[in-house]
Amino acid sequence: MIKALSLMGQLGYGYNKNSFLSAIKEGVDFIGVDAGSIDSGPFFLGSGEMKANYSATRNDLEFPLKKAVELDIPFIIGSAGYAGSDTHLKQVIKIIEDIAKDNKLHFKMAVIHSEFDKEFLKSEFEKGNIKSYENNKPLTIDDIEQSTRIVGQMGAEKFKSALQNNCNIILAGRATDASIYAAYPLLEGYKPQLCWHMAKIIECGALCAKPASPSDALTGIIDKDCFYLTPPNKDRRCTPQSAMAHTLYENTNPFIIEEPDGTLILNNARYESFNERTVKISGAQWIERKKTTIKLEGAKLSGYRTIAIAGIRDPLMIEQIEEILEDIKTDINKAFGENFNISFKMYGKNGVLADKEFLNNPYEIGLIIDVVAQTQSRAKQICSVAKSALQHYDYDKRIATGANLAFAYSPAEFNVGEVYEFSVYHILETDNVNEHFKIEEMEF
Amino acid sequence: MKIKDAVYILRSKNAGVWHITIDIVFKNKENYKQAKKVLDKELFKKIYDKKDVQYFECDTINTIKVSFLRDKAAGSIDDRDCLGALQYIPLLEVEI
Repeated sequence: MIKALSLMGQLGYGYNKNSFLSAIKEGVDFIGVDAGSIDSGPFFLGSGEMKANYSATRNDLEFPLKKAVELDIPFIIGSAGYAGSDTHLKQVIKIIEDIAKDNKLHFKMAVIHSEFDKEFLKSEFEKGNIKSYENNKPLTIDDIEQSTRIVGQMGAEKFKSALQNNCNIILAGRATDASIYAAYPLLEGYKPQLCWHMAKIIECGALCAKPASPSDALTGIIDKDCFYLTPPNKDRRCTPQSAMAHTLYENTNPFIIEEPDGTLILNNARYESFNERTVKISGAQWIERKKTTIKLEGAKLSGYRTIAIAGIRDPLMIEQIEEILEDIKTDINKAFGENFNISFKMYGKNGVLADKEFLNNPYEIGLIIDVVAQTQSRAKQICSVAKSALQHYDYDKRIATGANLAFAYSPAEFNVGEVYEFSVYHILETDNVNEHFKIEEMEF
Repeated sequence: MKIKDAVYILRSKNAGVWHITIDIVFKNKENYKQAKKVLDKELFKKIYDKKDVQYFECDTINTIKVSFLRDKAAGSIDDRDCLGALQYIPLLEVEI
């Protein structure tokens, strides 16, 4: 049996130390943690910034890393620094270096790079090897060229190589969440359908438990013909229902999960209650892919944003708000020409659902005036003019001639900074693609 | 009965950058069976104003799952729900 410990669902938001300690006290074969995602949008990949900063990342890595070295078990970190590019890896390597130095730790670390060379991708694109993903827009050469960086989600292959090279710590760039956990049991010869199914669930930590939490640990035990999930925290439990529901999470198809190395098919998966807090799972199928396919992710700079936040409470103004904002927008477009984007978000009216909102009874609107332009100073200028125009707009039957908006802040405008958008989210299918994920070994 | 009263889980979330996926896990077989009589691919296409949706009925877990392309990629300039987390709201009051 192999015992895997998922430290938490997302590194950098605080883990449960008691859960971690009680799991390792019972003995685990390896520890894993997912440090990234694309959930929070294109900014982190585009800008190279980490989502969880130095202190937050160090806080969650330091003690588990010390314990892993002490116990001589692998500690596998995937999607380092959130987006997993070389810039992100560099920042996390610095954190690990500092941890090693301050704690006088000695270990061998494998760093697995996941950033792809644009020239290589352009040539693959021209060969027709980059495809759309479930009907998203086809890729163009411009999308590749304009991206600040492009990463590929690695599968389990390079994790396995790093484990075979006896690296205690594995720090991977962008990786599928499941690969982090599938590699070790695969290498030990366990059935791939069990390895991948277990990996797919435990990558979110205790999110598949009741009560759910992404910041708590989960233990997965893999056996010959089934696997078991138990949260080390005794206040949580894994039930067939909680595990089943979690398998649906963030996949378009409830029965099919695509990984770079193959396809996991869940039609015949069985979820049984093993004891009060443990679920026993079996029955999935796995079809190994002949050629590894890699999901590419790229982001490009689309401008600079300034926002203003304003409260609107006058019933007469709220009645006419759509027309008023339309009018302001027309004037702003007339005054500033092209190459910028202005939008209004009316929280309290339809801020979340926009044209899909089905209720219409606001008494107060939290308005965000949102401007994205080619420079920060132009975004600020346009946002200020729009704010001022709205502040003094003389709408029909207006009785309050002071000003129309309540500002909670001075200044009312905020420069948000660089704005990125996803430019690449496509599938690369080519020969020997795993060779593009380079392993760099480091000794501490 | 409304969907919000018939479910154990009703949630939406991104599945990658370009897709929203909605999980409707019913409290029991009866609610699920009743829902299947009323809900179908066409209804979701109408509610979400989409040309096409992927529609799944998962009998063993009393679950209906629906996935579709977003209007805009997650986090793009005009996107209002980066995680796609509140796109289930139009389903709350739907009668089954």
